[in-house]
Formats: sequence, C-alpha cells, structure tokens
Amino acid sequence: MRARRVLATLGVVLVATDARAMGGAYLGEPSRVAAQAGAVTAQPGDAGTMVQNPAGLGDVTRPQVLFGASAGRLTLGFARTGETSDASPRWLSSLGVAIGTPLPGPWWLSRASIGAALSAPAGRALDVRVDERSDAPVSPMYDTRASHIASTLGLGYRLMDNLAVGVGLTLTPSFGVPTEVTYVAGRGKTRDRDLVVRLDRDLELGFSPLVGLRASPFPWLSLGLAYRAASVVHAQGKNRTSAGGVLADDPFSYFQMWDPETLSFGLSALIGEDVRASADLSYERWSAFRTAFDEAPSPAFRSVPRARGAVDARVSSLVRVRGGYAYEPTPVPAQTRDTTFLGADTHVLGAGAALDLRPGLPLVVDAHVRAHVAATQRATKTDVPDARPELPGKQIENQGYPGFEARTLLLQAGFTMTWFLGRTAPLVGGGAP
Amino acid sequence: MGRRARSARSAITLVAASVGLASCGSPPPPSPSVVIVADPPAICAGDGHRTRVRLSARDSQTRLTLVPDGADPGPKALSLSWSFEGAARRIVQGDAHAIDVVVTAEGDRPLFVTLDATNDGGGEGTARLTVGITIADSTGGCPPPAAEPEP
Repeated sequence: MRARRVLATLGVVLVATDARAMGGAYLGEPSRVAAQAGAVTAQPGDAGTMVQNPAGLGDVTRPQVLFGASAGRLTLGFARTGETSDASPRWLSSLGVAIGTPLPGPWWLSRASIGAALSAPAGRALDVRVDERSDAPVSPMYDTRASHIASTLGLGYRLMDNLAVGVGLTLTPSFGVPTEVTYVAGRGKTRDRDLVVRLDRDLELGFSPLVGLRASPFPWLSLGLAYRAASVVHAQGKNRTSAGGVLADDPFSYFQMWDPETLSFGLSALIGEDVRASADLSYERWSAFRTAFDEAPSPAFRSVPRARGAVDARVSSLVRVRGGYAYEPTPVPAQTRDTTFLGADTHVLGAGAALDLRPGLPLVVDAHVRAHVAATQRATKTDVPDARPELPGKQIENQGYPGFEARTLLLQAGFTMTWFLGRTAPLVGGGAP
Repeated sequence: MGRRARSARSAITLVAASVGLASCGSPPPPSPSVVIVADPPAICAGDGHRTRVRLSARDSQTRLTLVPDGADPGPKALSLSWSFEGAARRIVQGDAHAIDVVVTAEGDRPLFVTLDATNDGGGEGTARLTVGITIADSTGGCPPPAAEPEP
C-alpha cells in the first residue's frame, strides 16, 4: 500500500461547475448518439458526431448549429464485505455546442465540410482527482472522466458520392504545477513568514487525432470505420522543499485516461424507407491504462470489445423514434491485490425521439434517456501486500480488505437542438440522419 | 428619464453589484493542521477488542503550517469530530469530539479513522489514518508493532 502525504489530492478547477460529448467528453454525446447507445459509426453524420466518426462530416451539406444539454444521476455504491453500502449519488450535467458547414468554392473544395464542437460539464472545466492512497476505491469509468471541457475540430471530405473520409483533433490539456518551498530562517517575524512558496501553473495543450471513413456500397447500406487515439491528461510538476542544507525533492506525475485508443467498425442498413438498423463493434485499448500515480496497475487492465446496436424509425413526417443497446465488458481485472478499482460489465440502454420540423422550420429537436446498469462487482483481497514490510508480521491496511461489492447505476436525460442555416447542397452518401 | 426610472435602475444596479460581489466570494479561511497519532498503530488480526488503541489529536494546530508553532493554542481551540469505518469498534474512553479517544476493534479488518477539525475562523481540515491489522509471522506470534515516534 502506498501513501502520499504531500500533494495528496489535486483538484483542478479552471472554471467554477460536473459531465463524451459533442466535443469528446464522456457522457455528453448528442441525443441522437446517446439514444442509440453510440451505434452511429456507419450512420450519416453531423457536426455533433465527429468523435464517433469524423467522416460523418461529409454528410454536412448545409451549415448547422447544434446545442445540447444533458443531466444524469450517478450512483456508485461501495461496501466492504459485511459492511453497509456507501452509495454516493451525484449529478452529472453537460452542455455542448457544435457547428458544421460545407466549404464554399469550386467543386473540389465544396466537397469538404468542417466542424467544431465544444462540450463543458456544468461543474468543473477540468477535474483531476488523485487520492492520497493507491488503494482507495476509484471508478476509472465514471469518477472524473466526464468532468472536463472537451473540444474537437474536424474535416470531412466526400471523395465520391458514396465515400467520405474525415480527420479530427480532440484537445487534451495537461497541467504542470512546479512547486518550490524554501525555509529561510529570519526572513520574517514569524516562522510561517520564513517560508517562501513558489507555485507556478502551466496548461499545456495536446491533441489526440481521429480518423474515419464512411462508405455506402449500396443505397441501403453504409459501412463506417473510425479510429480514435487515446485521450489522456497529465498533471505533473517538481515538488521541491529546501530548508538550509536539507533538500527534499519529490516530483509528482498524475495520470488520468479520459478515453482509451479505440477502433470502431459499424454498419447501418435502411429497411424500407423509414427504418434504419445499425450495429457497431469497437475495440478499446484499456490495457494502456495507468494509475493516478502514473504507474502500471497490477494486474493490468484488459483491452475490451464493445458491441452496440440501434434502430431508428420514422413514425410520421414529423417524428422519429429510436432506441439502442450496448454491452460494455469491464476492463477492470479482479481486484485481489493493492488497488481497489471499481468496474463491472455494463448494459447501456438508450431511447429517444426526434421532432423534425423541416421544411417549415429548419430545426430538429432530439431528446433521449439513457441508463448504464452495471453488474455487481465482487472482489476478495486474497493477495494484499504487506503495508509495512519493516515491521514484524504482515501489516494489512488495504481499504478494500477483506473484500468488497460495488454497483454503478447512471440514469441520464438530455436533448439536442439542430438548426440548419443557408441553402442545402446536394445530399450524398446514404441519406439524412 | 424620470426619477422613478432612475431609482429603479439604481436599485437594479445595486442588486447586480451585490450579487456580483457575493458571487466573487472571498478567499477560504485558513485551514487547521490536523494530525492523528495512533498508539499502537496496528493490532493483531482477530484481536477481539482486547487491545486499547489511543487516538490523539494533540499535535493538531489551529493554522496549517509546515513548522509547528509552540504558541498555537493547539487542539483545544479546534472543534473536533472523530468518525470510523471498517472494523467493528467501541469507544472505551473519550467521545467523538474529544482530543484523545481510546478505541478497541474486532481486528477482522483495518479500522479507518477520520478526524475532521474546524478552527475559530471556520477553516476546515481532515486527517485520515488506518489502524492496520497484523497477521502473525512465521514464528506464529503477533508482535504488535511499536508506536510510531512522534515527529
């Protein structure tokens, strides 16, 4: 067991508000995506689905602005064996905006569309939490993954009427906090005044790339392929304390994975004129996950496949209804040793509707409800390390000892409004969303 | 612009300024320095409430400082609150707000101790400590570890 007594908890708040959004933040997707449990890789895209497949921007044939909001209640229940559950419900909310437009100009340029999306949690702009102990119960999926501003820029290009490609970049900020504490005897009137603390902050911006492809070999069938690099945030810095000839140099490096490297393949089929069925299969490389102290967890996380399916049906000229299901095997291995990572296989259920007011009003309003229902995680700490090897006997201080049960439930609702501006360019590549 | 309109505008400005000032807030009050010392720091596995563990907040101070200040009134000037998780326990001396608390525990698992402290200025601080359990070594005995030396 490892304890950090200095700089134990780092909470970074750049804007005073908690909630993968239009911009790329987890749990903040547009309603059309959330209602279909994310099975949209092969579907016609828009400015809000760049993260799922940037090639979908090739379907943006008319300038559009999306605004969305969602709110959800997350319950993480944790109980050591024989103890009562310590459920800690909290609200997650998110706001998102996205814009997309085809480029003007000659034919070769007008085949390109660009998009930008930004999502912000309604709580904190960036939240990195590192518990002082590596054995603290932590949910890598839900604890702070949704709590950061995310922004994505994308470019889609229609190579042919039935083939589009896209690229994008998602912003991944990292936080540098060099800290220096010096004790200068006699500098001030009191001992506290003898301390000199230099605290610098530096926000470094990195990008994680997205690439995608969407093809329609038949008018009724679309295929999609998308790759997204891992989205990781670091908080690191020097932490040096000096007093006279005594120097304590304790640099720190905190790590948080927002999203793993992901490869997705999807297909989407029109059944008749009014029904679209879609299916996605993704591979998420969670094996690259590291602990908050930027160390490989033992045992390591597993990379996992994820399967998603969805149906979207037009029920009248104004209304569409849709629903989706996803199965998300947990990347968290059996927690028998030092760490207490919370996570279990999860069923994602989504449902929603769309009100399409076109052509009278260039507006589409989507709404969704979604649930993440996780199985009960049960763990027995059979291989807990000696917390203090220097003492006789085996010292056990692990926070998950002798074992624990954990459950996660997320209930979420949200809406997205899409305004269409200007004139419509000829639609290609599989039909409107 | 009439007098009533000017008054209304002034009132709105005043309310807006007040709301603005209120939302700006002020720096948080200085936090106390909260320290827990446990003696002994661990008990034998299966202790069954035989060992008395003294938990003390005596090294706590009213201000967060890297250098202990002898002039600080110490924990007497703090509002303290002890709380526990983990092993079944009994408080056999003191109470949840005392400077010193003596507890016994079942010893089937660690005892997780939290001490919350509030100073006169409203500053809050928290310290956490684990009273571990010791599983017997190869000799079959369970030598309880000695108390950690005070800093």
